[in-house]
Amino acid sequence: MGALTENRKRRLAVDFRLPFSPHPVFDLAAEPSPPSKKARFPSPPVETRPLTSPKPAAGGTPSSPLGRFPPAAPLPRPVHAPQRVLRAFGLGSALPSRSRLPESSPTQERDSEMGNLVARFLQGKKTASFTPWRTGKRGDASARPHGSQGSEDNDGSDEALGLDQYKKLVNSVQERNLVVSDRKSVEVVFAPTPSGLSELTIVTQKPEQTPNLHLVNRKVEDARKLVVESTSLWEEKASVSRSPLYKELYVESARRHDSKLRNLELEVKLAEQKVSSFRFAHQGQETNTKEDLDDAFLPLTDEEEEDVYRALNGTNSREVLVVHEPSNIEITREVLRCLSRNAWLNDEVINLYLELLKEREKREPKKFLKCHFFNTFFFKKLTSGRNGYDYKAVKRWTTQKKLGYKLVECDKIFVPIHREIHWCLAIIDVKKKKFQYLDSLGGMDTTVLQVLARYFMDEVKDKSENLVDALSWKLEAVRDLPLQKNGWDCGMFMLKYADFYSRDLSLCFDQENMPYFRMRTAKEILRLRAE
Amino acid sequence: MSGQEEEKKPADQAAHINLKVKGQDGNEVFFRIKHSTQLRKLMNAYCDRQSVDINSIAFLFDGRRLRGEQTPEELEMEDGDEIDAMLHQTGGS
Repeated sequence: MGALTENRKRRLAVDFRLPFSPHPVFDLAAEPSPPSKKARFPSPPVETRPLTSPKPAAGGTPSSPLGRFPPAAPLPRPVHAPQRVLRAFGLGSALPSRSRLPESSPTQERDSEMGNLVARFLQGKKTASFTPWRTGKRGDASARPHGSQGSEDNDGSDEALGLDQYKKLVNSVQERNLVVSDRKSVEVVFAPTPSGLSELTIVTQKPEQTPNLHLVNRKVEDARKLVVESTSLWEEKASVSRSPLYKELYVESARRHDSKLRNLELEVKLAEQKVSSFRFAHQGQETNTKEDLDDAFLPLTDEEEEDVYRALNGTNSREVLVVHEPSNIEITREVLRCLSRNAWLNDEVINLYLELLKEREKREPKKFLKCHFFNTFFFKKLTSGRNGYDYKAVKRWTTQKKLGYKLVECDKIFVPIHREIHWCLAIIDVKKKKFQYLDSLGGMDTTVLQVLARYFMDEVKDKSENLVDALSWKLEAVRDLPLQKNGWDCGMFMLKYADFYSRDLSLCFDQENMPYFRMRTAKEILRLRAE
Repeated sequence: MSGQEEEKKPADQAAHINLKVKGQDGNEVFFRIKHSTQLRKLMNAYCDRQSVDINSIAFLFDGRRLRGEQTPEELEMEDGDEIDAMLHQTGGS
């Protein structure tokens, strides 16, 4: 872009200066005089010029003498209607010359013809690329006299353009785009300068070269495809600067809309990023340790699987497989079989597993949250009173002597909820001051949480002098929790909700993990040790 | 089992203790047993009386499961303490 602007500035400066200097050829800026332009017109660029430095040559090399330039390229140009449309908007290349130079016959003719040509190609991007190419050649030629020599030869050899020539053409197209917008004024200024002679020759030569130019144009188009990416930018620029007023207005309004849309898009993007970052941070908090996750999905060894298989498939269903002394829970084969596939979990397995979770936490208090796990009978007992609430019935369940800690000191308190044939989990989140309800069928029961809120207030009041306004805590149905997709896994889901939450993990499991969790739970119960 | 489950006998000896078994439906059954007697006796008596299978009931004392071989003595039970008789639970759907 820097090159472009510089280029334009220079040309503009030249334009202003030229009218006062009779010999523009010797202008410091090395700007070619109009005749030279015309003369150079047909000559294809001989050297490829990088886009980034289009202009230095113009300033650095002395301007080309007029005589060296070949006659202008012949242009196929029947004068036709499209030209008028352009004129009407003052944008056609021919218009300025026409309107301002009504009497200068040769120049005018040529100009108009050129304009017609432009007009014909102006439709669509073809035009955008062609016109620049033509003018660009002029600039090129002015910079390099060498190019002008070749132009005459090329007139005859255009039909067999090689790859190099394609490239040159393409490059010139790109270059020319730089000065498209200036071209009009340049012509206007130069038109009256005493250089009609060369122009005249151009006009006469025109017929011969017409086919060649066609060819060139086509080639240019073909070649353009090779560099669509690089040229597209310039083309766009050119077409915009040349588009009629209504188009400009339309584009402008569209752009305004676009900017609004872009703003909206930006906002949406920002919001999305925010959300994702929040989620990321959230996840970072909860699943900060990959080890925890690995622990939660630790595969069973062959030996353990064998043990579980034997325990589940033995013949004597009354056989006591394991006794948990601290909780006095006996697990017989019959009871353990609830952990085989498709079976409903019973209270003994659940209560024993919750006991094991508590033992796990005592074993490694740093690794797990400080939790309390009520057994499956607690809530039943709590709500067994006449009014559906009986604190006294469970008052002695949580004495300091029995637990060794106070409930209010815990991070989370897990309360299994048994609903006839369904297991749910309620959580008193002491740390975050809220009550949560987790139902693997996606349900919610605020009365359960309200009862727990009342219980917790009474409990805190009873066991310590503090008062907790648990009734004002938030009652929350946990969203996005993994749900069961069958009619028998709710107990397993409930246990895993407790397991993962006590690890301070998000609930990153689903129905597919349940067979594994059943096996794992059976193993942990048989070993009387939860990992 | 003779005489131990009856509440009408006066607690004339310190060796005996009055216990209350409370069912899930709220009804209460009172028992009087020796400190050193295994609770299995009490459990069987309760289930007989309620006509339920002992395997379908979980006995809890202060929220903890009771085993038949435990005695009031080792559990430090006091006169008038309450034992909960809860039905086993199961659920899946």
